[in-house]
Amino acid sequence: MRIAVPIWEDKVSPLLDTASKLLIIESETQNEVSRFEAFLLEKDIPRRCHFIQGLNINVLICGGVSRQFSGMLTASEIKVISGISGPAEDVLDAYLKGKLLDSKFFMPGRKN
Amino acid sequence: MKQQIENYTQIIIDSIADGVFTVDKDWKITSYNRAAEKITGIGKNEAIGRYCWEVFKASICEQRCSLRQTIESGRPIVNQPIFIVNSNGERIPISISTAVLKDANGTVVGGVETFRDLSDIEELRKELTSQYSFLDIISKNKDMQRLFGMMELISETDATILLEGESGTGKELFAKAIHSLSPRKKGPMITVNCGALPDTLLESELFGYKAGAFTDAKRDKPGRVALAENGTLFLDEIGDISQLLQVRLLRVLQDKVYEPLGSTKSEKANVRIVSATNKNLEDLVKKGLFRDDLYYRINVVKLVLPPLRKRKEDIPLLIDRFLNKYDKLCGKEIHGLSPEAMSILMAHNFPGNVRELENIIEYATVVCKNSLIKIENLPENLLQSLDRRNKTAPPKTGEKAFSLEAVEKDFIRETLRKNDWNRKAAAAQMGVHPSTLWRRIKRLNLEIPKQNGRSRKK
Repeated sequence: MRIAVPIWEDKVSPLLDTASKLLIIESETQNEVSRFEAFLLEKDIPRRCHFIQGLNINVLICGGVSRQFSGMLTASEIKVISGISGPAEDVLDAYLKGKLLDSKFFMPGRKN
Repeated sequence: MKQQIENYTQIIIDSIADGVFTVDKDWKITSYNRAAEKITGIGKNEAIGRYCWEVFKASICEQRCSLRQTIESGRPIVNQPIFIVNSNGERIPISISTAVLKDANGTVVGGVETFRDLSDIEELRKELTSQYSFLDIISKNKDMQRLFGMMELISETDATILLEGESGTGKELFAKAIHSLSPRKKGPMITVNCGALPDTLLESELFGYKAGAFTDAKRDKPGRVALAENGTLFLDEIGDISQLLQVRLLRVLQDKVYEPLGSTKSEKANVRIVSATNKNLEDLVKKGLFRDDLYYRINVVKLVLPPLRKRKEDIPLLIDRFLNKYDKLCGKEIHGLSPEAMSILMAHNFPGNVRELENIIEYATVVCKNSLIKIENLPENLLQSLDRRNKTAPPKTGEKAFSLEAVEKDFIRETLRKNDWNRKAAAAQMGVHPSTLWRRIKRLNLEIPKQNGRSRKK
């Protein structure tokens, strides 16, 4: 399974629409087996979505995201978990352990 | 005492219509007003103590944070347009201003950001556009506005209407508007393109046929006239129909009856006919190619649609409309055209009229990667035709074959010529002050005829 997180410094990027880098990890039975980074150079949403589609991602964990973008990703069969903030490593670790949906990672105003 | 001052401060910032928040040196929110709650959709209690980027989710947070720039440089930033994503996932256009917060000793303790929701301004802009629009047609040209007035009057009657205009001027849009304003709006509107079908086929399409009328006519087929019952029949390119069909159509208009192919019985037709042509029917009548009795039947009310080159003031409005449409279709954020690209479009003659402009904008939206359409995003043929025009114009020393100046010069000369060299009228059409126009004429060394334009004003 491929999990992606837009990153800014060592944190989850605040807004996927304008994020510049994506950290992608490959996991098997809840353990990370490999990782790589991809630069999000495309500015407009359809191209950005098309680029992410090409990375064969199953789950995308992000902070803020516009409804339009999130809708496009969902339509591309990518599971989007939005409204998440905090250090990227902690977020990934929590996801793999099934503990991500813990309020300490929630952005203010997150709607469940 | 301190508590009281804090209360007063909160009351003051809550009374401000713009969103206001302050951060400490760790970028954590320390105060947050009511307008900020409304714009972001995030309550004060949730926001206080959180990092500003978690609450604000702005387009600039990651790479060019204005507040960071202000705190680092000490220089405030005023009215920078950006967008944020609110708690509902909606992109909200806002303008932000930032300033540094210092304590009594002059030490920087954080920053303050005020932001204004521009959605209302966007709405107002839309409202302004709607003043110039009539159903789906958009124009501020006085001839078009007169047509809008006429349409309201004629739509209520059953009068036959003839729409005359070049290809791409929006004849079908007018026909649709007439139908939707008429008492027949609940009925169907059926369009037939008379130029697209051969004569015999057009006859069966219009009037239908009975089983056995010809080989393979195994069952009855209703014609478009029957399908348009209680509605409107729109006959596009009516100038292309044959003399034989003209006679049959005349009967529908005159006696409100017709016979389907192979039928011995007349059928009644309750339709309103709107026809359109890009030809001059009067000329065709004179040449004997169009029956004069039919011409007078369809020409009860004639609306002549002006070509786009005669209503260039509508180009920016139409561009705005098309940008909006294709932005949504492509999911892009294109705000407009660069002044150079706009000048090129204003100088173009648009033989294909509004349809051509729409195609140009669609092309530009597809190839444009930024938020502004530039010259290089316009179709090649448009630039080539302009280049050709520049090359065929008498060469002048020191002037580039294709430059913004040449385009501007061309546009001003053309507008002046159309207004009989009357500078005031030309300036009004261009939407600038006469003295601005005069300065431009001077700067561009534009030669204009010696006669006094004012005396020629109509």
